Amino acid sequence: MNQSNVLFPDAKFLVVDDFTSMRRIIRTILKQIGYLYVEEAENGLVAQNKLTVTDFDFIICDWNMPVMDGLSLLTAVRAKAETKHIPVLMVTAEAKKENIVAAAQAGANGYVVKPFTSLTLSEKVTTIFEQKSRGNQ
Amino acid sequence: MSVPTHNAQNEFDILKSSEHSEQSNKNEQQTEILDRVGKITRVLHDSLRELGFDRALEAFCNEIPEAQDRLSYVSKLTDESADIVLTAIERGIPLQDTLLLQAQQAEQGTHFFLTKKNLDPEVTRFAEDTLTLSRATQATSLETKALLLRIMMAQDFQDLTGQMVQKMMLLIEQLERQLTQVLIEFSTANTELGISGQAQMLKNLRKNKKVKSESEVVRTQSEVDALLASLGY
Repeated sequence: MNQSNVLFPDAKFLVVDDFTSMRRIIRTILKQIGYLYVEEAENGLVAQNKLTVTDFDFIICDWNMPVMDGLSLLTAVRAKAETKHIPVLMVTAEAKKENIVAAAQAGANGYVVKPFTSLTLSEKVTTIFEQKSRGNQ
Repeated sequence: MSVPTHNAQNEFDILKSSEHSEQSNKNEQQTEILDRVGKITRVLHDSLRELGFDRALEAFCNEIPEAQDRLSYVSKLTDESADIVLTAIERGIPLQDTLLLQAQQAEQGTHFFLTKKNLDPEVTRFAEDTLTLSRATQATSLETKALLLRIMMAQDFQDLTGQMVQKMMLLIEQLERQLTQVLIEFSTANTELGISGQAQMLKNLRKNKKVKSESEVVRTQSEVDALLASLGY
């Protein structure tokens, strides 16, 4: 996909996952979609610190992480006026219905279960941006 | 007014007495339960000793650090493998992107060249071959990129297996702690050890386990070569 064809091509992404390999996979997929600005964090706390420094446009977040898990980060993001508007996509191995419901109730914009395909991730990102775009109109 | 007060007092006393009686029954029941648990514990203790299970437990405890080491090793190796593959893919995809762009430019240039009039037939044929090659290169490059992405996506196993291994290691650690405690509490030789003696035994167990796990495993070819060389091979 060409960068000029994507919504919000200058969007800044924050990828939060405790596994380096998963962060690299997501970064490469985003790059293929056309999103070149991607920062990484290994847990929720590091992500929170990065959110105070940079105005991110999208957060892709794992659930199970040491120090601060994804649901806590999501709750913290939604609780803060400066960050509550940022779309959050949960990408996680947690496939329990109660977790999916909990994430939705906490304000997640999407939920992708690992293992996933690059197409699934790019579709979710595009859908969330489309929803955001419609909301802004 | 005094009668109701008296009645109320009576009812209160009856209730208190009933509560007291219930409390006594509960205490008796608890004492009985504790007695029975104590007897079961004694039977378990004696059985463990008579059947030699304390030694079996000790042997089992000795194996646990090795299992932890192996799991840790699996985690480390899969992490390293995924890293090698992802690094190659991160370098390979831009190379394919560049190749695709160059092939597209070659196709456009050759196409433009072929629009010229009065070209030598041999040159035309050569240009058409170049056009075919540039188109094939584009198709191959796109397919190669798709394959690289598939290989990349397959590396997510490292994340999923890594989480499993972490959970298993945590479980093993808890199991080890509990079994070691059982071993210390039920071991024949340690019934009269006291707290400091038990602590020393725990320390020795851990030390022995560490020595065992470190000394019995070779993991690299250089370690194998060194070992064989030390044995005179």
